[in-house]
Amino acid sequence: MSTSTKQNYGGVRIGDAIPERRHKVTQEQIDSYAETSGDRNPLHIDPEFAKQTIFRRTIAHGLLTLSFLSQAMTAWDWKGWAFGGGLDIAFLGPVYPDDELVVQGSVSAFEITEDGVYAICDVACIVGHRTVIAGTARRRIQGV
Amino acid sequence: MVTYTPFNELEVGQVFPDSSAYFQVTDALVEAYLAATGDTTTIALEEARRPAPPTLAAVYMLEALAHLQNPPGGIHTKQSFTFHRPAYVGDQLRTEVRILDKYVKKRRNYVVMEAETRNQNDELVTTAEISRIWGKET
Repeated sequence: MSTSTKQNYGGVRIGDAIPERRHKVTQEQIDSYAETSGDRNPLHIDPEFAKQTIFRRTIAHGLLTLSFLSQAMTAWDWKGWAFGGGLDIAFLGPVYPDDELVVQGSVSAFEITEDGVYAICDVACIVGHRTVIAGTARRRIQGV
Repeated sequence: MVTYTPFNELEVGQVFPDSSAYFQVTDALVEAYLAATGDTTTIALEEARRPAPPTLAAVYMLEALAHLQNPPGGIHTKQSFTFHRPAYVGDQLRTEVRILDKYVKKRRNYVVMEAETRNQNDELVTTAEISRIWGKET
């Protein structure tokens, strides 16, 4: 694996922005995600339990929030995301019911590996002034 | 009654479950996942079978992770995924989880796990690394 100094692969350039997406998270959605995923951690769905934690109220599943980032990458380039793409992120803060979240990102580098060229993107999910997820996402560049 | 796994009993290198956890990808599950995540992105593929959204991995890997019996209240701190190929409706997936590391930081118990999911043809679908604060043991 090596990092390329080229500024453009397959029409993707350093600095290109991932199309921004916005999501309003509701308790109903958190409950629905808990049912579908099977992750019924009471921190997400039981207000009485959540009151006893450092968060004082329920929070969204980190992997629900992460699905919004995946949606942004899917909308940008489904094949480059689903066939060889990936992410490496940290959960930095909670997302509460009724928070509005913005998914942002841009291409910061290209990586060359044996099986192709990848755009490395700095990505973040932001609620107001708080960054709740930050890290990198990797999109495979098609036809290169 | 559910019995939770105490942090002290987790061993680095331990594999869960003892036999891989199987998971059937169904159309109903994909529909429910899209609805729950508000996913309106259009996946345009020429392929005959319906692909699941990549982060459905959070659901099929949970099946295997559940064997660790994390006490309630645990928090997800870091996550990496590599999506090698999509999971499709009709696929039977199996996931194996291994404990990579465990440590205590600021009086919190952290567990780092790696997970690998393959389909019925033994093709790699998703690999992941997950860091969690272990739930409090009462």
